[in-house]
Amino acid sequence: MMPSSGEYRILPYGDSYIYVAFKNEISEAVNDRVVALCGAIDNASFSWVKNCIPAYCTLLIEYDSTAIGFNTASQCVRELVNSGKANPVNRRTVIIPVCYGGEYGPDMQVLCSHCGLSPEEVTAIHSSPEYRVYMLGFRPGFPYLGGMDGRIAMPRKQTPRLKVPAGSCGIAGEQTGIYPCESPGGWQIIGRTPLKLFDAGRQEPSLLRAGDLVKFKPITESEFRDIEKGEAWLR
Amino acid sequence: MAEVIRIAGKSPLCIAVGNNRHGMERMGVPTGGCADFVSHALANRLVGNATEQMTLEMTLIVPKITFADDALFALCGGTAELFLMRDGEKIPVEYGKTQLARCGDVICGGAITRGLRAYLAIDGGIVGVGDLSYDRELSTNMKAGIKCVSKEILSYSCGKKELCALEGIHTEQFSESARELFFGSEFTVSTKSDRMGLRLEGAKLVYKDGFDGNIISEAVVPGDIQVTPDGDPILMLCDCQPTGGYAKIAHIASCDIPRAAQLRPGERIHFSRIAADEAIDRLSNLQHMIETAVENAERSMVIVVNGQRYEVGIRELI
Repeated sequence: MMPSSGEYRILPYGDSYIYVAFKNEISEAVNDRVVALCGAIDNASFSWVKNCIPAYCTLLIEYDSTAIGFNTASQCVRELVNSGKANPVNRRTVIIPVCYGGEYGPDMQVLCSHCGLSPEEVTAIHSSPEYRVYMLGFRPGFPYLGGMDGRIAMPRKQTPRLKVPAGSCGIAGEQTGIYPCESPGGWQIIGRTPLKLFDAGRQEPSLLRAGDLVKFKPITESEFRDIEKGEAWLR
Repeated sequence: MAEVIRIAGKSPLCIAVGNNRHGMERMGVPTGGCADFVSHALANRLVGNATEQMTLEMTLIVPKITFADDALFALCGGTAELFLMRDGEKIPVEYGKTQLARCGDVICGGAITRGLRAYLAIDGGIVGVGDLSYDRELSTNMKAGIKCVSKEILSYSCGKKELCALEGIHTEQFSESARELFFGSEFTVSTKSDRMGLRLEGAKLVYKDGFDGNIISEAVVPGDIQVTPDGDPILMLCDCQPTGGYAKIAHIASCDIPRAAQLRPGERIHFSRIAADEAIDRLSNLQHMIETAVENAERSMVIVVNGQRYEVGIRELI
């Protein structure tokens, strides 16, 4: 009997994709299986694989269906899942400096009132966990983070802001995240990072990958300006 | 790199596009690239380019385009009645054929009346510089010669009212009647459509009892048809966000994505079921067609008579 987090199905998706669905839930164990399989497929370098898109509990594989049959291709994938080659290997911990409150956290006071906490408490609670990056999506470089403490949860703003600056770190419901680029938005903004979550000029444009751990590190406004100016930030 | 064309009037509906880009969806970056990969590829082949080169994708209208250099050019996709102005002379522009432009020539713009998106390829490919200017990416000696495609192949993408689709990955979320309505009724393409997707108006598609259409966020790719809680299906195109959380009722056959990209707001379409095997066969045939469709037409050469230069087309008679 397979462990529950190990259950999976492989299905055809359209005419050019293989859909691997693990247990239908948001959990670290299931996401580990997705990230590990994605890594294993990347490493296997099958000539017929064009692309892999990992998500919470599914992996979508784009393949050249005119070159290989679904049955043969999915059997290769099945073997990777079963063989244990799909074991998580490199998990990076990425430290993201955040200047909390003040001009960088315009909604800090509002959130404090809502949650009955002081700014120092909110900062401590927000920067304490190691968050899991379940996947990227919605915008280039935007991470879906898991592990936020419910004590600092707060609904989105009734009226979204027209412009939220890039790097803004916020809370919406039970979720926390960072705006990779300036955009309209309804999250409660409690701080900002000087790091670029997405930079098309970098060799790997996205700062984060599915499966990474993220730790927020409180920094001062002066440190923020230094990092922004290009002082080396040691990850 | 030197300027090859200049566009009159900045427009978000006129952009340089390449092939659809694979590999960055996992970073949250849309696939992007050309919406109609057939017209884009054919236009490139007509000027001797690799299909990876960028073309100019023009939606709804073809703007006025001035040539800043001699060039081979070709147009495929949505059709507009166009002329090339040269020293006061009006030369009709033909789709699906390599044409020669001289520095200073101007393509007079026009509304696209059949299909939605036209693709202009220039020999050597183009690279955008600023808002309105494009350089030639690779220098060529314009030796590609005159080529053409058959009218049948040229009209592959435009004017098709039927799209083939495979059953969706979340089919169990939809009621029996929703699935019958999807494959059995007509939908109208809404004006709220763009490169991210086509919003379709028609019968409302209802989830099965106990389902609300929400799924745990997963990948979304061009060709997916998601159904939002208001019951309207959305057919995703090349600029769609690569992740999403609505149930998918169907997936368009890959060979029909170019046809979806040429649908005009207001047009009425319907979907028909296709099995995976047949969809893959059609895709394979389509790829073969793109490889082989472009044939040499006339050869052209320049002759000088009494000091006057002439372009002369030569077609070998059997």
